[in-house]
Amino acid sequence: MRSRILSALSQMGEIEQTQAEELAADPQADFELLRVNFDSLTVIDFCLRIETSTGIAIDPDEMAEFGALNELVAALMARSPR
Amino acid sequence: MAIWRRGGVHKWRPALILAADFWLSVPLWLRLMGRRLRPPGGYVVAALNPLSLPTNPDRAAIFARARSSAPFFDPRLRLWVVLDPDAVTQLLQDDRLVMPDVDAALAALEGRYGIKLPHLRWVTSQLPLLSNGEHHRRVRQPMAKFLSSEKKHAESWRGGVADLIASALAKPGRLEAFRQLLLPVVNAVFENVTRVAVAFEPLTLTKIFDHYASFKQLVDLEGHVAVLRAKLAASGIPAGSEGMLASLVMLGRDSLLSSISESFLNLVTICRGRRLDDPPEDPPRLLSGVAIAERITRTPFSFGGISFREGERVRLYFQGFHLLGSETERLGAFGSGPHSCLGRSLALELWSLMVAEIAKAPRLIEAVGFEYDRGVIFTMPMYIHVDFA
Repeated sequence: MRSRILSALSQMGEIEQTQAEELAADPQADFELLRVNFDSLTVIDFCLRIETSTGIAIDPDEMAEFGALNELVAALMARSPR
Repeated sequence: MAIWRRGGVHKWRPALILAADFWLSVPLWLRLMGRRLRPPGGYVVAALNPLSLPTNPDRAAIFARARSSAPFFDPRLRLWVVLDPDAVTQLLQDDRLVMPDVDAALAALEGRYGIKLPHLRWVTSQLPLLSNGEHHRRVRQPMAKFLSSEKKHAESWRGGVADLIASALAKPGRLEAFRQLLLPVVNAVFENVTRVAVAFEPLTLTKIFDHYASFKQLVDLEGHVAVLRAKLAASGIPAGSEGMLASLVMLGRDSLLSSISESFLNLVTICRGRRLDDPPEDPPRLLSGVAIAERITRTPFSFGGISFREGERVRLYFQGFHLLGSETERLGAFGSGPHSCLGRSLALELWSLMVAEIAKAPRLIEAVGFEYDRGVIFTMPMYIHVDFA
């Protein structure tokens, strides 16, 4: 889940690929999503990428609730089918 | 015809009924399959993406097909999409639709992120476009008066702008028209009108109009508005004009830049393969670069066979106006009703000067390349490469 989110952010050019790889390799490391320069186009693009790669739908308006990467990972994990 | 020749339609009736049933049920099946259809008035499948529509290369054909179409609901964006110019005009003048409450939205964002945004709240309260009712009249009237008087003083910037155009078009090699011509021209006009130099990147300030404003965007924007206020305060402008000029800079510069850029792009595309001093018979028109406007329904009502509920978002698209027959109709792209574009005259004034100056350049356009910036409200290029022979 974590690597898919980071991969989506990296593909969209919101974070560097090396940063995505480092964050993916260290589950304890966190990243402030508040710093990502999303707008209404990119946030939908991001949500669609997440839905495509994980099968879990996320509402663009919800994105503002997640301040950090680990919060988003936890929320998506909680929604994933057991 | 074959049916009639064989002795009447009765023999074929069951088959015709079946066929009619099948075709009538197509919209239902498509809907069941998760596709969105245009409601009454035809069956244009709304498989288009409303977000990328303003820069879609096929948008002219899409808007042509959408003529007289009813609004449709986009479930992902959770808003109504209105493409037909007549419907857009009617809805712009309908007082059951109001501007979104930006102050409440900013207050919610302050609470969510635990920050204070005093400069943003101040400047949004000064923007006629974001206001309703009496407050709207109070902030719009002085701006209308100011722009009208500035139009009379256009001579003060015409000479400088003409020089900028001539010098940009005289440079050898490829012209990056957005940065080397259009941005300097619009900055020169705005500097003259507002008495402050605005060095902000295009689309920096109008991020405030984006439905989704990230934490980073809000913090950056708050800083930019603070800088703008300080510049205005230091410029010696008359007391009480600060808010009006700030709101002009916030919205006006990107509006003018996008309209002039869209019009210029159209001009050089039309003139590809010919000399600029041998322009087409019909001078290229001014196009609005403002692609959409959004409103909120303040009460439930029906329109064009659609029932709007209270509090729904309605997104009105302007590019359909560019395809209309008369100049008067096409100017509908600049809006109508209480929130119509106050800068339309200024844009027309600048564009007529640009067309006249460009038509003096003895340059043959070989190729044109461009890419749009990402944005929701404006169609703004990131660059326009013009290669001359």
